[in-house]
Amino acid sequence: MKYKSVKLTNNDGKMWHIGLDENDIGKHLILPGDPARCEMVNKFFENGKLVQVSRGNPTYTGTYKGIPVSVMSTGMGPMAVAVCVEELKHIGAKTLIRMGTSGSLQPNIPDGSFVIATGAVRGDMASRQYIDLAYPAIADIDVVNALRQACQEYGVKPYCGVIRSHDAFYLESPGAHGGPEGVRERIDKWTDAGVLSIENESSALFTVSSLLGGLRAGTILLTGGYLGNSYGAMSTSNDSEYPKRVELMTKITLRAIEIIDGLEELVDVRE
Amino acid sequence: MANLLKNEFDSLPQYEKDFKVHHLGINKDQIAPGVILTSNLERIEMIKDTFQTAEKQAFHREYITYTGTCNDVPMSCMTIGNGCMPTAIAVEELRHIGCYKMIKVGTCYAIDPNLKPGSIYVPLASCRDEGATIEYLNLQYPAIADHKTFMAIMQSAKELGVKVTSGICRTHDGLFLESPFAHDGVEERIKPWRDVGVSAIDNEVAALYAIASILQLQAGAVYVVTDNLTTGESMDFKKDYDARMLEAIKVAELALAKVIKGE
Repeated sequence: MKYKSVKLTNNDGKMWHIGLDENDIGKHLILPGDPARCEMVNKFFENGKLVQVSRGNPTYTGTYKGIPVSVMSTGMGPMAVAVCVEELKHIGAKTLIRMGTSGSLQPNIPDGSFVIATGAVRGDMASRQYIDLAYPAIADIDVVNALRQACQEYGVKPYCGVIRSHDAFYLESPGAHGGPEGVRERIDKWTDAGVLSIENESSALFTVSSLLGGLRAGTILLTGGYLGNSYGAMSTSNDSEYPKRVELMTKITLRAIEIIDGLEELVDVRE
Repeated sequence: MANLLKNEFDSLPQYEKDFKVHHLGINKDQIAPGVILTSNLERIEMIKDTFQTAEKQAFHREYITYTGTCNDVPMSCMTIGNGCMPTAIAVEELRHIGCYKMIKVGTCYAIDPNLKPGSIYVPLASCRDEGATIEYLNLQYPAIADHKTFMAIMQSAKELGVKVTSGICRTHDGLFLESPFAHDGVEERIKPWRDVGVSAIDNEVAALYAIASILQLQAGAVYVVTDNLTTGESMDFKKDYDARMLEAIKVAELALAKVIKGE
């Protein structure tokens, strides 16, 4: 299969699901899952303005230190993310950085830590429908390095490594079926394998981005408590420090974009 | 799997302020006993406009909820976003706040060459070619509509004079692999399903049906076929879409009222 989808636009010439065209976005995009986070990110943009709300997902576009940037929420889950990656590629996106939250799989990672994904366990089905599991879900190395450098500059020590993405929040979360034992039963093998944290979007983001080519994709996550002993508490969003940590993550992500903007654009070997 | 064998499919509500559940952003006082679900956030306006009364309860992530009255019974309508992951969360959290009856309205693609764009389609069951339900239970378990809800939909369609087709659907997670705008190889991917009589493709209904039935809730669905991936035909969106969608909504609402009243 050649990975080349059809550019499907609506009557206004905008991409069918995301409702945007080439003039609506900066080439570097920050992708939270939660629409509520977009407005906060936009506050860091120069001349940032709301360009569109499509299916509940807002897009704000502006500049950061003169660099064209956008923030667009993808909605939750791999299916929604894959659609966004496809349509953003069609309208000229070059960098896609997911900025989200995750549950920790490691007792030694303190609450509120930042995790930078080098790759993701492909526990989702969307990426499997694109290509079989032998293909890796890896972040773009330049995005990983830029996020690491940005963290260092802000005096933050991030955890870098493999994360897990999957489709069923209520099986591996603080509210999962089967109580604390049920959660442990499902997550222990990933903890033992050294997987850092768990979320729902990155494996699709990484796999689809590398299959389509010409896209630099990466993920930075604010991570809550270890799922094995925090049953019943959504530790990230209930924490009073949470808004501050999200702001810091935004600054780190924008600094990473600044670094990436200085790099040459990716060349797709197939072209 | 010890816990699952004890029938412990009972997730823990993640309450925020005022006992609002974490993702939906509503509490038990803000939802009716039955809800019309839809993926597309823009469609919710069309649905709530058909209600006798409807008040917006929340807009949180991909979840917009209106609650009011429809067909003289208390009813809500709510968006669930794209794909099985947010659908599964919606079903779980609806249960946490005491809403046990749900009918989804939306669109799907036909693969049966005889299922024309513009048709109203009621999935009796769906192939679980998605990731969310596999994490719940292995593939031996079927994703099937609640029998009473399905029958209520068929009866309501009859009463409203709307022609519906029912059949086995297939739910998957890769919209850009099987759609009118897909990558190469659509025909190869849909042929095996068409050959076994699967009539349409969507992105949510298997999770809705399987998880609702695991949690002992009642779920059904009513779809408008927009395109046929086998014949390449599409509906005339400008001319027909609103009217057909409205028909689907009315069928779903009448059926949900029957289910709520226990008819």
